[in-house]
Amino acid sequence: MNGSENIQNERIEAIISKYEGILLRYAARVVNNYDAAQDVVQEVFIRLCEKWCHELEDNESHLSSWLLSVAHNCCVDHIRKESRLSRLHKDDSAGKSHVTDAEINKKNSEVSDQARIALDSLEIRERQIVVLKVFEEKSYREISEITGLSETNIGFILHNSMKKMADTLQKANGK
Amino acid sequence: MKKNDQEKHGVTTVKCEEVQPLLVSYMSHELGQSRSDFVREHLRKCSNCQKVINDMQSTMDLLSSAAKMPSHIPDRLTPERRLKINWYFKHPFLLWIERNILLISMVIVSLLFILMAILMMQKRFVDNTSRFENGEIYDVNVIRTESDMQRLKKEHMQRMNSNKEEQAVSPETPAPVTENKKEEVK
Repeated sequence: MNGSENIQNERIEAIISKYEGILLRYAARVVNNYDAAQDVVQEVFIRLCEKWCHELEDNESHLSSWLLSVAHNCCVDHIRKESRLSRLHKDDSAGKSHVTDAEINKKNSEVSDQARIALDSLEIRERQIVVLKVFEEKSYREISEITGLSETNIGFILHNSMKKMADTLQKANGK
Repeated sequence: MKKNDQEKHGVTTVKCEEVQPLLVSYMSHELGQSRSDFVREHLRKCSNCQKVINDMQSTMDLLSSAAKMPSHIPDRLTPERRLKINWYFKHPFLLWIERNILLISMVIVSLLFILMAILMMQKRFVDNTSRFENGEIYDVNVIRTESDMQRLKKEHMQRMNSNKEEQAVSPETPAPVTENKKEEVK
């Protein structure tokens, strides 16, 4: 009994170590806040503990899709909660993270800022798909598994998102 | 795109509208061979769609370069959060309680209400029983209104009075003959 518990603990530790990086990056880009990303990822792993089953554990690709899908739902919950409370907190924390970037590397910060402006112009669903496609380099099929959308729909959303971001960047650079 | 421009470029509006939603998929190599060829062929002729795809490509390049930059996003959970996750993994029941705390509270409050209702009904039943024993009411199980109670009390008093009157009018019943009296008679 004790032995099997130890094995399970080691297994969950291994899963956390393997996926925490990708989930933190994903959540930070979607919610635009490092602390909130930590909360989101913690919640994802707690939900994994709740739903712990061998089917999920054994199927590596299914586990990865499941974690990203739950991460997205948690991000949406977080954004809704934040927007209910106030948008000020989000803008404030975003400003802080950009300042840190600027201190480290000004050129990098300019590109990051532009990317952030472009991403901020998107709806949550669009942002999720852009982050999965461009930042995480997922294929349409993988995005479809994570989001539950059809591949045609993903292509359509990406097209709209790219147009929206291109317009936003043109306006921003025009100023 | 204006009609004259379209004619100038030798393409129709329908074609551009058909092609443009496919551009991102084309850039991402997610289109099949035949559709890729269709888009490529159209792009060769249509400068408007070329401009659209160039804008999209520059946006994609910007995001890709942002993605490749050294990220300052922490790639590890804080130790406190890791400990919390492990603790929840070891104590799933406590996690369940925390998740369903609202439901559990509602169930507890409902049970308390039911218990209070039962106790109150029991108390009322005990009160009614004692009133029945004292002759204030006649039926413990029937809850009567105040006017009913007064009427019943009046009827009860009338019956008592009539009984007394009957006893006063009728001759007294002879007292039972005791053993001592029998001996005296002898």
